[in-house]
Amino acid sequence: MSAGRYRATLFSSAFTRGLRAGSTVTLTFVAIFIGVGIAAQAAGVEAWATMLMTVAVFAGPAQFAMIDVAAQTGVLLQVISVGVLVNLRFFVMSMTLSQMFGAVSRRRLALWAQFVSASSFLLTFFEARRVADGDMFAYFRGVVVASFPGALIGTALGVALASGLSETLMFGASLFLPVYFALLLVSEIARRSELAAVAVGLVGTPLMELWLPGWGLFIVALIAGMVATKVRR
Amino acid sequence: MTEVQWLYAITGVAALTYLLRAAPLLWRRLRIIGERNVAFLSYVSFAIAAGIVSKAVLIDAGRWAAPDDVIVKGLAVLAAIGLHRFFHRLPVALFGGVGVAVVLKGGGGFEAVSGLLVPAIRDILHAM
Repeated sequence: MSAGRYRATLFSSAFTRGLRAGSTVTLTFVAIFIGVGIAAQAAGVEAWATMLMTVAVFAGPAQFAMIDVAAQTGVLLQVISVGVLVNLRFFVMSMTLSQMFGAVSRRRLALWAQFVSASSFLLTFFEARRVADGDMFAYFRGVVVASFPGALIGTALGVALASGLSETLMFGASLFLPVYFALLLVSEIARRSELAAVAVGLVGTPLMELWLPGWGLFIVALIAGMVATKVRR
Repeated sequence: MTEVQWLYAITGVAALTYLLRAAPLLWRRLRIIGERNVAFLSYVSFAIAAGIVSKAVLIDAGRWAAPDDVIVKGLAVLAAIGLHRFFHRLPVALFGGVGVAVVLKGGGGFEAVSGLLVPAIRDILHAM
């Protein structure tokens, strides 16, 4: 691909829309990863390891779980196991994304697969429902380019400032993602089966999270999928 | 854990997580399984989005969030939805909703709101 054509694709309207959508969750990423940085500092994890974890693992809940287990047990195999188990949800997310990306080279898919997260996945999912024949891979890349720096900045801030940040601002910043998803849900639910899936997710996730921390979202989503499929039939 | 152990842990989780992320995108067989279950996967996506919302509102650090925080977060979500209905602009709704939460949480606005709401609800119940 020529440089000019690549640039044209990079800044296609789908990519720009992705950038815009991704920028709305950047602040939430900053807030979440400030938490990761602070938790890592409290558990005595080195700054370089904390930053490397965000770059290489790039999954807030898994990073929290790894830090927690490391502080409690310090057993390497347990730390790896908990990190991977919490990240099982990415398998389902990538499976859904694979239906939206169409004909994209394996090399590019392999490169961008690292950035599948709940945000990049869900924003692309909702965009695909609105724009049936859009370039969802460009949109996904836009979301990632806008939001991933938020994770890096947040981790660095958390490590540098530890717990010296305003609690109110942290509180507000942590709300961007859930408020955004609430807005998307309100405008996207069109069928009774979708409403059923949302209802099960809303009610079941907090309860399951209390029972099985780190697993609630994943397990309840699968249950909701089955319930909604039944409702549809 | 030592620095070397952390390096192993991060490398292990990163490699296995990458496999989870990349396999369905790169492996044709998994894509075909996904094709057959598109409706199921879309319901799962809706439920994940809904779960992120309710988890953020109701749970804090692995336990039920403080009632005051739950009310503030709930009001933020409702305010955002209301603003979106009125203005039809996502950024206005998003920043408006979060702004409501920051003002209520930081400025002691929660006490003011509950001070107005609670007597009003009591009066309504009394009248009924």
